[in-house]
Amino acid sequence: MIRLVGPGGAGETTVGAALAERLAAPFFDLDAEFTARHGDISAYLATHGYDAYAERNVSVYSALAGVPERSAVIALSSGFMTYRHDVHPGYVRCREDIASSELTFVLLPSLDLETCVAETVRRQLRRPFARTTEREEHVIRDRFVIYSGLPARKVETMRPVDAVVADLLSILLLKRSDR
Amino acid sequence: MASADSRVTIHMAASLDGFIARKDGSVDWLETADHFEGGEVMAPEDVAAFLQTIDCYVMGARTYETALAFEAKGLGWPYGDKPTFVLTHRELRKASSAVEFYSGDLQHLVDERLRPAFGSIWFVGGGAVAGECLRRGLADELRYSILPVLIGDGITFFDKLDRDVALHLLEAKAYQSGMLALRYEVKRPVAQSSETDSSSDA
Repeated sequence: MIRLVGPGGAGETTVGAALAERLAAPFFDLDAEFTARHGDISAYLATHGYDAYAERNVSVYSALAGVPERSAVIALSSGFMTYRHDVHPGYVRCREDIASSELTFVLLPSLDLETCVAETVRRQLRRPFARTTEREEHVIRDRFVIYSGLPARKVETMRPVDAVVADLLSILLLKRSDR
Repeated sequence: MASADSRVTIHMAASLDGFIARKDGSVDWLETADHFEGGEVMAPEDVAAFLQTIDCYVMGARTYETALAFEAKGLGWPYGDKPTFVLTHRELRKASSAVEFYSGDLQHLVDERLRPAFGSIWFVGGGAVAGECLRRGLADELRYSILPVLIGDGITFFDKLDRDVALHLLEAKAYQSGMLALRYEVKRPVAQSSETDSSSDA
């Protein structure tokens, strides 16, 4: 399973869908899968709180990851790698597997922190639940540090989707011919 | 007494036919989803960050008990460490030290205790509390999230309203999950008076 992770606003869903299409593989968007099982995420959060949501989201991911679909592509939720470690009994293990897999890609607008923060803030502020610029920046900075610290391969996304997908395909092809 | 920048919001999710829970209080139907192609998508972290801006919660006993039941199922306490005021005459278990039980007058609670101390005050149910809040003219804003389901019968969103409440639509958003979120300003018919206490006054 090919996993795309990122701090949000880095095009995980768009890139994931395009990559899956090129691979003729199924595509899963974790947020959409959560919604299909548990309804609207904001309604869930408002009535159950964030930890309950995170716990359920890990379960939804685990169910998808258990499907023996080797070439499926999954775009993870933007906060998935940042949950509290005791939020689900299987979370630490699952997070390690994702972080260290050679089929995991960390999508970041840019590898440069300042460019990344500016671009992500710009995109996030257009969303319905946008915070203030300062608060947005603070959140992005924290998340960027976590995501850029993951051992998985980083891919820059501040360019056309086709170019990002072509990059991912060539990396995947190289990995395949390595074996 | 009200502090100028405090804001009382009533927020609940309801079925299209206006129920916030089944007759037995269950809310399993909240977890129904649709797919509306043209709808907006929200990142969970953005919603969570938005919920963080709420300063305190007010709820009735049954809504509180629903939250206690979630907690008992191992889902954690939904309202974190936010001050939570539960309107009840009963003895109930305290979910956390941030929970306070209140059995006095609602207007007194809102005007004398909550408004001076908190900016964003959220009423999260149930129907009787939302109804009283509107009847007594205590709410500034109403957020109504309609889920794509009809459940036929249950506890209504606004219980026993004895007068019309005029609203001004501020925002209407449709989400990809099929949820429709409406946000209204509650129009105030007359200048606020602290002494209009009797229940039939409007």
